Amino acid sequence: MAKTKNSKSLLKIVREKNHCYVMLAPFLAAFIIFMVIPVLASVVLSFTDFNLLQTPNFVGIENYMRLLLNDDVFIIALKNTIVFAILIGPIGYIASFVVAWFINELGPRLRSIVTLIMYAPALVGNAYIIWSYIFASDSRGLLNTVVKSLGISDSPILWTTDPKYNFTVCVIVSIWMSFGTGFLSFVASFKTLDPSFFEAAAIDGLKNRWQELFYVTFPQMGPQLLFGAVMSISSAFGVGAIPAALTGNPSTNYSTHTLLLHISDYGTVRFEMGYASAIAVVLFLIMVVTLKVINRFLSKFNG
Amino acid sequence: MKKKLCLLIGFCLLFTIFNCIPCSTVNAAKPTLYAVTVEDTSYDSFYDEFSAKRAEESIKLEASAASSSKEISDSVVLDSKGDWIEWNFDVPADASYYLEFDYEAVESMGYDISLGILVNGATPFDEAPTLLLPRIWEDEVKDENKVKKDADETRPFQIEKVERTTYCLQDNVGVYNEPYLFAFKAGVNNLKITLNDEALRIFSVTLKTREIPKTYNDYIKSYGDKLVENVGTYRLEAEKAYAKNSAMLYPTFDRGSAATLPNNPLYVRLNTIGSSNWTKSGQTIYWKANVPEKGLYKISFRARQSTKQGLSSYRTLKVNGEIPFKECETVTFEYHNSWYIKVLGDENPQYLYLEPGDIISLTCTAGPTAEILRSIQTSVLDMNNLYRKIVVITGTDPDIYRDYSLKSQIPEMLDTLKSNRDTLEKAYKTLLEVSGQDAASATIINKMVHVIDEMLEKPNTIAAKLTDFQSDVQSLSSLISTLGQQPLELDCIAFMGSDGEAPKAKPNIFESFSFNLKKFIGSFTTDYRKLDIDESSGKQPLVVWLTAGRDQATVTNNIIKDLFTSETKIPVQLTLIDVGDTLIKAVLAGQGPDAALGVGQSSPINLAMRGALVDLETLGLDKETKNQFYPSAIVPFEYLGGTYALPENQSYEVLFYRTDVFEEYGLTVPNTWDEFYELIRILQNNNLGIGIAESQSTFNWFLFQNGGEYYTDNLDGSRFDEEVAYAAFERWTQLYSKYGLERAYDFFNRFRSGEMPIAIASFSSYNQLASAAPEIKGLWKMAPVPGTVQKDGSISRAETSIITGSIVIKTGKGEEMYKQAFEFIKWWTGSEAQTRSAQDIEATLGVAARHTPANLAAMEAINWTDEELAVIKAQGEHVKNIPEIPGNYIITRCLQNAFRSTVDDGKNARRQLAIYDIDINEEITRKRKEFNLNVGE
Repeated sequence: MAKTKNSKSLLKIVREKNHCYVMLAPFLAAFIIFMVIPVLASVVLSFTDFNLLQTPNFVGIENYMRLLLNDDVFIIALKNTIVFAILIGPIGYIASFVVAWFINELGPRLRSIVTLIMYAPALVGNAYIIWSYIFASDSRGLLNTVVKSLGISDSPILWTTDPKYNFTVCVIVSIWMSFGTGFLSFVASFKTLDPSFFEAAAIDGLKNRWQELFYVTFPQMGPQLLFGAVMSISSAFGVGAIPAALTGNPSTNYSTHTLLLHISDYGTVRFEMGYASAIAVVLFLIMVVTLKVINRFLSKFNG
Repeated sequence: MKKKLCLLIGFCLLFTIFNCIPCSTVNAAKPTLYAVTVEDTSYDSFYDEFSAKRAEESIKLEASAASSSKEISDSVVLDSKGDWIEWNFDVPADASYYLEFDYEAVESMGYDISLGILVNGATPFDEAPTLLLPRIWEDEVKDENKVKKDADETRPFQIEKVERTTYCLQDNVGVYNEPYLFAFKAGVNNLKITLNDEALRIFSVTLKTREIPKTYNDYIKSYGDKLVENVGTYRLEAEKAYAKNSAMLYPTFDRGSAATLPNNPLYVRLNTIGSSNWTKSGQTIYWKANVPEKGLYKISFRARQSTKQGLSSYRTLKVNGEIPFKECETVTFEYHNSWYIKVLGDENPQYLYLEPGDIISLTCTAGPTAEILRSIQTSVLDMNNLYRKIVVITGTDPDIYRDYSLKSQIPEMLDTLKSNRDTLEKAYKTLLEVSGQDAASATIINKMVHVIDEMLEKPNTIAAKLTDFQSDVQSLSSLISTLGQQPLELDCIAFMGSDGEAPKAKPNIFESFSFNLKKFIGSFTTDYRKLDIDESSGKQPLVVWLTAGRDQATVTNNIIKDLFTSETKIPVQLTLIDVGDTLIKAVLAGQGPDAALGVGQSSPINLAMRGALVDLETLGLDKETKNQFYPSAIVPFEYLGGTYALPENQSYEVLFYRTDVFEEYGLTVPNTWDEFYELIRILQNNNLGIGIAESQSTFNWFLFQNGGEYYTDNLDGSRFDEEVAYAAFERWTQLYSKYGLERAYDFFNRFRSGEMPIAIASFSSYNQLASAAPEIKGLWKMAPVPGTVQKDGSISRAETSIITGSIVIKTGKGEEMYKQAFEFIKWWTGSEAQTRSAQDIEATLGVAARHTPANLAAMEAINWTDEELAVIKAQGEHVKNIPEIPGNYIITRCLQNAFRSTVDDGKNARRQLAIYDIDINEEITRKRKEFNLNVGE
């Protein structure tokens, strides 16, 4: 979206580079219809009392007032979302990178097998369901059996409904699921690094692998690092399906409630689409700001 | 160093001794319940005795020679409950016989005919009071012109074929390979037959002996051994059956193989029969073999048996009702993962003499597996009993470091284990022998043997291995139902003369490739959601959405065409859609249906308060229609004076209990909560469990049975600030905190093992218990939930129910369309359609899919026993439902949160309810404002 430095009008640029715009058109159309319009629509709806079935009325900033001043659950959801993002985003990000780095050292066949194993949970989609089996509250649940045989607890622990445990459970499962697209791009980008750089660095007196990582690898991987960060942050803010499936929706005292679940709670259970849109707009703004910050932070690798 | 060691050992010894002393005192302090031995009067316990003295000659009892409560001619019609017929007759010597009925089913509700048998005034064995005679069915004849070439072929209706037939009373679990035996004494005997359900015409009853068929050599001698010449192959499509004795044996389809005929890559063609439905002993399919000329034929079947891994299915082959020769008694269909050709006689083909028009039939039989199954079943029951005895001492979670000295407390324990171990080992060996394959699905037997071996080796580790033991016994009992089933799918039966060729088991690679390619391409253009519609009237069809399984939807569609469209000439386009979220989005987009069926309890009012539904009162909903249901069933569909849905299905909770365990401990079914608490004490002392889910419905019992309410009269706030609500909430939480009931448990498995002999669950659990737990058949019952004694001495058993409804959607198509849609749902929830639907679904899918209609007349028409129906009705009258109000989702959440913080964190129950009640009222007020409703002070 960078503005052109000279004062040519937009129309003129379009006319000059029309072939580019023709090529761009299909994607642009899809992007506008499926991305831009819904985002704008939800901004508009957030100022109404839309209930999914009847014509919406304009209510001004009432939704935002209520959201920011009078919604305890929103505060819990916001807190949970941020904690999730802080824990899962960086941990998932760093873990993806480290594992990709490690995999890069393996032989080609082993590498593809390990990549598949690590990527499988994200590929399968609803794979987190198997954790509900591990964390079953039944006294014969998998983890409960272990806990009992080790003598840690006599009575079954309600992993997914007890607020003492369920947040941690969700974090663990989310990290397990976090080896997604970012991870794949790391794996791929390690292959594109120019080996001559490493040779040159070795001749120049590189001391260890850490120096190699920081002075040679990172500067070459700027775009992929940024891409990974964007994917990781957006998935961290988008946590919702996992807590809902494992701990129920809503969970005990909203202990694992996230903004995404708050949106679906208002949108599909309470039929208050206007209010749900307001939450979505807030979530959108938070994500935009976070990405800006990350972008600034990673810009030194990004040329 | 040595000193220290001595000290340590000494200390350890002391510690052990101290540990042991309180141990035994604890056990002694328990109120011991003296176990009563229950006399076993099941057929199984008599079987050996009965089968030892078989009769020599059959005795025929003609209806004309009987006495009966009904008119007697050459036959007797029994058509209402309690009708009876009896004979007094001479028997030459003490002997046992099969009972073969020569009868004709009389049109009634369409279930199997249920009879009770008394021999000399007494019930001969436990199963005898309810024995079944099947009805005979055939496919409806379809109008050839109406069958569309470019659409899925629909399953033909099964209509009753009124035909005289013979049938021996038998069990259908598959544990006996012959019919039931009835013992008679020498001299004059009396046989009395009483009708329980349905209707039939009896011509005669024969006391039959076992007939031993000829050997093949004797058989073939009388016909020579030359096949018929120059007739080629006569291929009989198995799905075109002449008749069958169960409505579940409808034609099915296989779209996987290009060699299954007839087929079409794009659409369903009915081309096989049996599939997963032809599994129970006694189920028979008859075919008319129109062979070109009389003579000897070689027989082959194109068959598939891919469900019973490593084990065979068995069938008895008859020609015109007679078993032609010995080998036809049990024709073995081996396990194979795809279609194969089964030739009668296998490597040495055996020929069958047939004349044009002969009826050949295949009957499910347990064959050689019957005896094995019986021994496993006895073993399972035996080990479950033992398990329960151990649990009484150790609890379900034994301390693995403690020696419970089980050997001295249960002296017979080791012997029981030993004998069961031997039984199982023998069963496994025999099973391998008869199946001749690697019986993969039966390896659990072997595992069980190993577990018992380990237990016998180190008896003091039995307590530690208890969990494994229990789960293996459970798998073993599921194995019984697997083994008892005899699945088989048939594509065709080929009769070959000397120049005949057997059908192909597999298509060649080119056929297969082109078939699958067409199928793949076709999958892009075919709409699988829409069901076939009768558009002959040319009117605009009524669009109806339905949430159900595909089979239920097909049945529903058939009923609609048959009963609704043919009467009213309104075509109905039924579409299979998960109504939940989709409905709202579709209504929003103006793409909604005219009516929707099977909508969840809270949806109608959620839609109605936002103006998406038509108020049925304005469409002429009358008292008469409403009176078809319990008044409570309408409550959740009412809002501001309007009624927005008609109830379809209703289920509520009843008490399930194990009669054998209750008898053993001398317990009675609790009538009130006080009795229930007493029962908890006794059961817990014996380490047995009680199943009450921690759900809100438990709170509802305590609230409603004491006269509490959820909402104020004008529904603008909760009434949880009243004493009765506090008390109810406290009692709810105490069940888990004070009484320590389990909050999560597997009802089905723990109930069948008997470690949880009593549980409250939805009465639809009946389906599961009736169809999937054959080993406890007859050992459990239902009862109404415990109640609370009222001031006037009556007992309130109030509870809530779960309901689905049918709705009319405000599509904007106008009054005329709404009226039609209303007519439709009124018809659908009415007794005729619901009865028919319940019967058809049960007939095609079995008791596991039993329907629980909200319509009272339909509910009674279902095949319940009188006792079951009495319980269900008694409980149903007490059902009380909660009105749906804006924002009521908050109640479930807040009650759950209050419950958890009380039980998990040990907080004060009353205070928690009070805190959450504030949230509840806030949300209700806020929602009421949203809908411009009056708000309380």
